[in-house]
Amino acid sequence: MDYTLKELMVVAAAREICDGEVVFVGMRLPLLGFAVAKELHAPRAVGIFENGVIRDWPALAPIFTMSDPPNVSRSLSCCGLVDVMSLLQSGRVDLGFIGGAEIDRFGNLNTHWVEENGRRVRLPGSGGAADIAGLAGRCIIIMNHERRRFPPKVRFITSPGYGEGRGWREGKHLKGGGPRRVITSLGIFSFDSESREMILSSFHPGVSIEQIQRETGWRLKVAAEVSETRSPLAEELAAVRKYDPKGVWTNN
Amino acid sequence: MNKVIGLRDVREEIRSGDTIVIGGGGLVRKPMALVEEVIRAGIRDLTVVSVLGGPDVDLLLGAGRVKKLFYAYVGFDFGGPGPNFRRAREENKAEFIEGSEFILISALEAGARGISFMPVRSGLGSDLLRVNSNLQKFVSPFGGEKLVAVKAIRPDVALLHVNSADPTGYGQILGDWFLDPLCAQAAKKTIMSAEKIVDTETIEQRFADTAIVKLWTSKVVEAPGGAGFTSCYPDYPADFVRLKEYLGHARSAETFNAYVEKNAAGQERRVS
Repeated sequence: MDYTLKELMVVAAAREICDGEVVFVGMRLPLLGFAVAKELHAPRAVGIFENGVIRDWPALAPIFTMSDPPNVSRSLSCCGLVDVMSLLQSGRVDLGFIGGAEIDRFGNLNTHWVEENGRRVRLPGSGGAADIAGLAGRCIIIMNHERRRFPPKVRFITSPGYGEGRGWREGKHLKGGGPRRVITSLGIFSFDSESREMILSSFHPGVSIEQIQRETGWRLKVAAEVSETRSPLAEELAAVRKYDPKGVWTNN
Repeated sequence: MNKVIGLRDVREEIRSGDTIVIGGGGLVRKPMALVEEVIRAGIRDLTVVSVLGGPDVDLLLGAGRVKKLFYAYVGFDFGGPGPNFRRAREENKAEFIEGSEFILISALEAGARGISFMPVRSGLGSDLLRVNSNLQKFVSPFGGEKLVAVKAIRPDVALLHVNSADPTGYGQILGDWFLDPLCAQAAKKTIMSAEKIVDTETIEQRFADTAIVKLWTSKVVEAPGGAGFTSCYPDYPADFVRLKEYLGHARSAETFNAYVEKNAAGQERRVS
């Protein structure tokens, strides 16, 4: 393979962004995904950052926080959190990227606490993730795929996915569409339109379905048409490397 | 009216037991000089409101000055969760009230507007509704939509750091404003530190950069480098070397106590 796993994940994220969409961009991999989509198939997508930065074009230099100079310089607006959160609540954000420490089979995310060796370990909290999960048109979740991160039921729902399955979001009066895709370090999942359960739609090159099952805490549902994740095209890789030339975010 | 005071005078403006809200976000424009002065002054039992907490909240928690924390996030971006936050949270050293960004913003908006709550859609479906009694579901009188009422927060004091301020209390921010204007509007008084104090004419020349209006401002402090080691665009970026040092000191309660004794207690602030 002439690309890294993270490059594959970035490209998978980029493919989820459609032209003209308003995207709530996170940091690291989703940020690069946004850059790649802009370069290739979504030149009219608009990126919104939690801190209030709105950009048509991603910063060329690597950024470590959303307010690093390359992200602020030549942004179109530094409008503030109230404004970007209002965009979200009023339904003007098409797509949001989120992650978490734990995800369960209905795509609920936990960023509050986990247990390690019987001890409760505290995590930083929701940030904007609970808002994005509830209110964005659809969400793409990016996760490291490890069994401890994939329990059948999360301990705490920070950011709601499909709750307990079919009809749950509607019952909770959630306006946003919920998770559309989960891009993990092993494969890509969709959600069943009926049961709302996560379904494996592709496995990354070199990864077996058995391996994914081993790293998943419930009995995996596999799509009938499951296939290998499409490798990045040359132009997609070139775009990733244009924005991350030293592999700060994409070296394995 | 000249509102300029020295950093040491800040202690006269805040009392133990006060509710304070802190501007900036994560590793950006945190009023670290003011926060360190709070610690030096021995102010304690604070209720702290922080939408996006970074070293400000972590330092106050590590120094044992926080009685209650309203927060959406406390961490160092890629540096992970705040080490003192994690310890304090796991050992229940304070009361922790968890929200999301929009929930915390809405509590401050209600405070700023002088009303008892703000209706939002955030929190529906999240366990935040289960653990935070300041969030209550209700039915909209207009059309019957299920919404969440977020109880107002009206802090005693807002602490902010800006690029420049004039002596009457106008503050200009050249990078992102985060929630600083909202913090100032919600709080009963605002103490604002600035990289530099300029005359009012200089403020007029770049009026579009004015984030903080003098009507909200009680006191102004000149504090060059006052956000360090967080960033203050375009004056300086976050200082990752000092960040790493901080995280090193914060690895245990013992090492952090020694660090607080040495740096935050006692002497004047080291200006970067």
